[in-house]
Amino acid sequence: MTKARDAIVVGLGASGGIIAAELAKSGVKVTALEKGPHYSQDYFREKHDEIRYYTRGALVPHLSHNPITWRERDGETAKILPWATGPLGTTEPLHLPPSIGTGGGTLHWGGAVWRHRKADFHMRTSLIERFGEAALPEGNSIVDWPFGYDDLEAYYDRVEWELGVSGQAGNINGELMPGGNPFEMPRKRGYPMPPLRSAAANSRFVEACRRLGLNPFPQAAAIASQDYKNLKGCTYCGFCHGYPCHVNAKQTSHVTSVPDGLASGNMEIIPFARVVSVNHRGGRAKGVTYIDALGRAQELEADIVVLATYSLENTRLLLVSGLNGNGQVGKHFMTHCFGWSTGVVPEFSNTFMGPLVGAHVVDDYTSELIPDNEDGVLWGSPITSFPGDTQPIEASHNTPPGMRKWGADYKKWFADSYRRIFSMHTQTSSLPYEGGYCDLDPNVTDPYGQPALRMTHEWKPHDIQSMAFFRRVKQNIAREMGIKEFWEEPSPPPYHLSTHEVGTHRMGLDPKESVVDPYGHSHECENLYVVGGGQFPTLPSYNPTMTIQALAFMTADRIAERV
Amino acid sequence: MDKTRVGDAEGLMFFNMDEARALDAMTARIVPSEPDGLGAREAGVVAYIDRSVAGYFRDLQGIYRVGLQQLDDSCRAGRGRIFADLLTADQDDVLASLDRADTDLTMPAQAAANADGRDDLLARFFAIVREHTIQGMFCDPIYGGNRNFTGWKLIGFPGAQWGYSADQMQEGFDATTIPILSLSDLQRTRTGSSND
Ligand SMILES: Cc1cc2nc3c(=O)[nH]c(=O)nc-3n(C[C@H](O)[C@H](O)[C@H](O)COP(=O)(O)OP(=O)(O)OC[C@H]3O[C@@H](n4cnc5c(N)ncnc54)[C@H](O)[C@@H]3O)c2cc1C
Ligand code: SF4
Repeated sequence: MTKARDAIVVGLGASGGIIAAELAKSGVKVTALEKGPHYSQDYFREKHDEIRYYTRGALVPHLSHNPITWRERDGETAKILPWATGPLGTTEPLHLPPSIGTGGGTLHWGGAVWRHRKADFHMRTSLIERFGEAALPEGNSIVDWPFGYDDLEAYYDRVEWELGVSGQAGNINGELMPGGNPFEMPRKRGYPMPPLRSAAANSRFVEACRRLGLNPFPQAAAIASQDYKNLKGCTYCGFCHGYPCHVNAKQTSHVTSVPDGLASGNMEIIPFARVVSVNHRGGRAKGVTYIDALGRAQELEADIVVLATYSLENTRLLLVSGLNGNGQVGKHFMTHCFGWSTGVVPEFSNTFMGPLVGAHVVDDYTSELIPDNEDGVLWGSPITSFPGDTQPIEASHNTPPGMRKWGADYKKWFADSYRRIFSMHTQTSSLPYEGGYCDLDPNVTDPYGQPALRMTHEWKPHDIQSMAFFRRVKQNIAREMGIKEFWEEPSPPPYHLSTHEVGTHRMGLDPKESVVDPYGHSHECENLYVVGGGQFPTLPSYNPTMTIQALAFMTADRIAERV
Repeated sequence: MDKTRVGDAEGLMFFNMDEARALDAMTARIVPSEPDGLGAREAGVVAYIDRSVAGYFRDLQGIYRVGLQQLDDSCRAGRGRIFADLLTADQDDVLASLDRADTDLTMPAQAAANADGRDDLLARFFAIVREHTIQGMFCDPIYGGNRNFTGWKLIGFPGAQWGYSADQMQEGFDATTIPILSLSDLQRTRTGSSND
């Protein structure tokens, strides 16, 4: 048994990268254990490779070594994620857990960032006030967050300014800003960088939305539009979503946080260290056991253990470590229900240029802004344009329904259309409910003999109704854009892993009803912190990571004060 | 067809020449060369598949061997000739009969290779070949396919660009005016930013 320094941080992704670096900078001696490689800042200079990163998912954890199973409901036998396995030899990097290695999910994320709305922090209260308690779906476990927007505002600001975000402010201290989101929550100051450029079809989207009376604004992006701190300005290469950045424009914890942590001299990284359990005695965390690069089990001790291995793996590690005293671990599983719609615009728009988040969004129907409707939609979604960042093989999969995907007609269609493809998407919040949860699979183990995580989740009527509502909205926009051919991917989606999985180690003040406190501190195990989207009590319809990062800064502050 | 074209100068690692010929015939129907000479043959799709199945997709070696065998068996039984010797219209018919929306693509490769019922197996096999043909058309040429940028020329994609300028990102910009680059070009030059 080796004594680590003061703290072990497991996982160097969005949350762990921040926490490890912040602790190290404040004088805490940190050992970071990372399942994947340690990437230097300039590791990915030539990453323009769709086979490697998209079809073969070079950065993501493969199911052969990291099995996860899924079933729709209780009583069924779960299968290894059927949407990401199969004879085609395609690893769907969008529907497996995020990348591994220093940077974690931020290595290849899109970088769409959001401050959640005030109402997102008290969804339950807001729904009951508007629709009455009876309107909440049966079996739901919707609760309010243990704090509000105002408590997190300073941390959002820190993420934007310390790590770097490009965007156009919509509301500074209550004053609406031209060109920004009129529905934005008040912020104390603007973004440190102006918005990104967009691929060409975006301007059609913007004009169409304005004609329809909607209020499009530029997506805030964790991508530098100009040089900023450790980041360089984006070159709009278009191999972005699903790829690491070759110029370090993308805000990635292996560029923004980890180098500063290492420079403090208080942080060491052990790569290829796969943590298999949290060791604890008498209600206190003692350290962890991990499998090292040579396959040997190692034990490491520390005063503080931080699990930052993504919501799903955090959940699995708590369960295999026997930390589920109140039965809440794994409950309240939520993920986004994506509605992707695609069409072909009349002019060349060069689908392959620019980042995913060089795009505009419409917030008129988001969260509590959803208008009264006959579909029974309680909580809305932003509608986001996706004008670029689409590589040929990815695009070849997304054809109009009923089209034969081979032969002369297909060839002609793809040759004519590829450069004019345009997409839009919505992401509605799935709601937490009794039958949606994660536990350990009784049948499937990983190569190290540990049980796989099993997801039990089905799309509910609310998800399906939401998709129907937003399909009509998107069709209107598409028509107004001059798009003739317009189609929607299967809805609800065949996959239940969107990389926005949250809720399974819920935070709350009541130790009986939740797993961690607002700082990610375990109710059950002293000195154990479990952080990430797993903390979310509900899932706003915005992308989760900026809130995960804000919470990570909060956790780091808390631990630093204590040590 | 011209046998030398199948493996090209690099030769084949996994398929024998008969297998390669059958695969070449299949992929040439999936992305035909007509009318512009920009098809699977010109892109060297068979070379891409050969290298991939010899290496990264070695789990699929079984289904490729069995699939190619069964395809020829069933063509011989039903139409009196192996697949590569059928008229292209007949080849299209055969492939159309294997292209089924209900093909269970989630079945692991191993199970598929052992599955009962040749129709099921051939349908899965066709789905795999279709997918790999697309990959071989549009991959970076370092993988052996997309030779002479055949696939990228077909669709107007300029490849591994360091970045794009504001002018290039305007509506109507003709991206075929940008010289196409491969990853190997970037590796060789390690250029700095090319767009500012
Ligand atoms: C293609 C893609 C696009 C995305 N785009 C966006 C977006 O635009 N906006 C947005 O908000 N979010 C996006 N996300 C989601 C985002 O990546 C995640 O929300 C975020 O990374 C989660 O942060 P985390 O710290 O919880 O986990 P991660 O960032 O996933 O980090 C977990 C780390 O833990 C390590 N680890 C895992 N298990 C172990 C173990 N047993 N032992 C040791 N180490 C371990 C992993 O290697 C990894 O480095 C995207 C995700 C994907 C996959
Ligand atoms: S589009 Fe910009 S941020 Fe994205 S990978 Fe390319 S240069 Fe980096």
